[in-house]
Amino acid sequence: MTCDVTNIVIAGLGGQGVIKASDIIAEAAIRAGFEVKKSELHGMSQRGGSVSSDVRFGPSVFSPMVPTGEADFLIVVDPDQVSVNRHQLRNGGVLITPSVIDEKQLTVKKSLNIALLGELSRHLPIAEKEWLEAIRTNLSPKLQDANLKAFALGRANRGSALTTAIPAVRSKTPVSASTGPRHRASEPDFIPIENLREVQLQRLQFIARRAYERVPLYRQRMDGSGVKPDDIRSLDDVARLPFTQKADLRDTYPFGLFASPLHEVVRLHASSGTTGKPIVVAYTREDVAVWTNVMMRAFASYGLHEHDIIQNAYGYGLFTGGLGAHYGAEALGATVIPISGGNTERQIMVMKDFGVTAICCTPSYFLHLIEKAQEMGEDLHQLSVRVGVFGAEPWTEGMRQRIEAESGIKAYDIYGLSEIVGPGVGSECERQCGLHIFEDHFYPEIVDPETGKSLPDGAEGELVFTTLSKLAMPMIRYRTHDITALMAEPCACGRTIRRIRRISRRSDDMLIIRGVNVFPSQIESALLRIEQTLPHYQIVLTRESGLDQMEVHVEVTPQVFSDEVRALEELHRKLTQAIETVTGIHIHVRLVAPRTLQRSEGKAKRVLDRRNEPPR
Amino acid sequence: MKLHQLSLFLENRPGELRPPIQALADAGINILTLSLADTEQFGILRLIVRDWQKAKTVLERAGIVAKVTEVVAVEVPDRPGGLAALLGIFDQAKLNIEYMYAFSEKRGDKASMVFRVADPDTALRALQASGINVDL
Repeated sequence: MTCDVTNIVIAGLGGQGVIKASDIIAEAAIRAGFEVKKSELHGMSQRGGSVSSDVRFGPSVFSPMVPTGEADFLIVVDPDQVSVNRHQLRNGGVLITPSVIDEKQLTVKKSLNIALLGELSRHLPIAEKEWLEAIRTNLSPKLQDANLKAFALGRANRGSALTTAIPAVRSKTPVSASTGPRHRASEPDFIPIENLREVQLQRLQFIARRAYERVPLYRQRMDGSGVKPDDIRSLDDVARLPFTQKADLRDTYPFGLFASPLHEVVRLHASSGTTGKPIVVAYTREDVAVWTNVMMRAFASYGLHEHDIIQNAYGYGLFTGGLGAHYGAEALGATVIPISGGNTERQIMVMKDFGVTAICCTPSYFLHLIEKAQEMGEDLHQLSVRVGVFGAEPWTEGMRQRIEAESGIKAYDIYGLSEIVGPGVGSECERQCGLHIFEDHFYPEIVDPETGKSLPDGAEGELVFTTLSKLAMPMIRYRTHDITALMAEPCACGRTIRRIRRISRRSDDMLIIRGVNVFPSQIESALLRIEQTLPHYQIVLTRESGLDQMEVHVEVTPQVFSDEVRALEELHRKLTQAIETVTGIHIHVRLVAPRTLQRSEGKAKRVLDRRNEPPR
Repeated sequence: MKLHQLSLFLENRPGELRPPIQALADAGINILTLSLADTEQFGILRLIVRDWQKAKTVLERAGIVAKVTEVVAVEVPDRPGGLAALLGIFDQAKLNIEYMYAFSEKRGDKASMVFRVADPDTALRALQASGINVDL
């Protein structure tokens, strides 16, 4: 994986300490435990000629050269060299020039390069002591004091002078507005880790108490496992709290887990449960505000802002996707088009005519949109859309590459589940390397899916969340069944909130089809209702022009088989209707001959997932 | 007369029809007549054989489920208006015909046809009352 590599280009004239500065960056990064590659220089090294050097660091780095237009940071020591080097900077990258330093404050003018490193150091996940050590070992002792002072001067900068961002080559909107590279909404993503842990502990203690005092199920569970809210003295104590499962929401349907009286609840949403009944989630006014805030932070982390026009193609309604994205995008100040799902031709017309710059939908729906646009003779590369916010179903890196290549947009992953808040539990940043969890509100843990034992950061296991601030419906150690790992190492974007790896699979049999959760047990209950006994069946998932399709193959049992065509067609109609009612999605039922479905150890293989197979 | 008809469920795709027919062939069972109904997804094969119980066992051994239904077999005069007159009897008795098909063999100037109705006994009585030979 190269997604965590930080690219730095430093440029200037011979004699300005360009190479020396790159040596220092490289050493500081090595000291911080990164792999580093450095290209010595390209250009002329003699005094007065233009010089530049590339430094790349990350968990692993293959090539020493920063490809054109991919520098995250461009440091130009000579003001006249800015324009000739600008093309090196990526869209949204950070440009550091002498204008950020008050040169009069430098003891020695030659330390300008080190002052610029001070500015750079503010943006990198490398501790100050590593920088100081790198400066000491690389520079002459004679000028050490002057250099350390210069470094401190740059490091003490407070954002004002920081410049960035050339407009994207094909974008019609400036990529970054006056707010600079970091949107103000993103500030909580960068809070110092100690402060974050302190806030988390306070909130955990609060929510454990609220759950215990207001929700009978939590009180019984906590009493049963001999833990009281007062026992939560550190964040590690979260592991003493009992788990909550989806079945608990079903068993307390509809309002049994609410910790707020209904008059304080301003919103209800619902998502499919494991059987016929949905699960219900509730929000107070404060909860909606938190949700709005995290969604706004997600949008900000993709570089979106008030100048963007966001087409929200998530479904509006009981599903949390539509309204969740809507509130966040509005709070960001963007222009929101609440188009909801479906009607693909209209989606493309709106995208083109309204000058849409970002779209929210499931990744599979966007693939469908790409194909439809091609049919309509529209080239998405030519449109102003530049960001896709894709979630509500797991997708792969391969799908991202395909989407980005075929549409020219940047495709970002967003994570969430209704039980915790809806979309906005976590989101990728511009590095596209794991999803940052908004852990000031949703405390993540990884546990062994079999034993429930807590696992350390980095280990793969089941993702578990405790909501730290949700009033109406606190979730204590909710088992998501999503398999991933927490990435504790700092992200190159500088956010302090931890990341999870992209969700690759689940520990249960839940299927996600066009953003809708479907359990085989729902299908069984529908089959059973129509046929009285459970026939052998198989769920076959395919992908047709980007859209997930679900076929249910049902063996015709002797009990229901008829020699009359219309009786079988009636059976077919009833089965289709029953399954569509319980799952809420459009499906195809295929009647198949008895004893023809594949069986293993007497049981039919329930799910055949062909979505990632090449079309046949 | 009442006959026992075997019905088989088949998917509507190549290669589905042959296995049951081959199984009967291998057991030396002759098919007197058959009809194949088709829809977009599936088909229903209906068979008349002399020894339906043996045929059913043979098919089941081959992993094929066959449903047994009672149908009515009737002689129909093989001339213009023969079938029309017969159908008049069904109409008068308000009997709905789900489907029908003919035997491939005929005796003299009579053809034989198979009728599927909800209640074969009522159909037989109505036909007999109108002087139709129902004993083939």
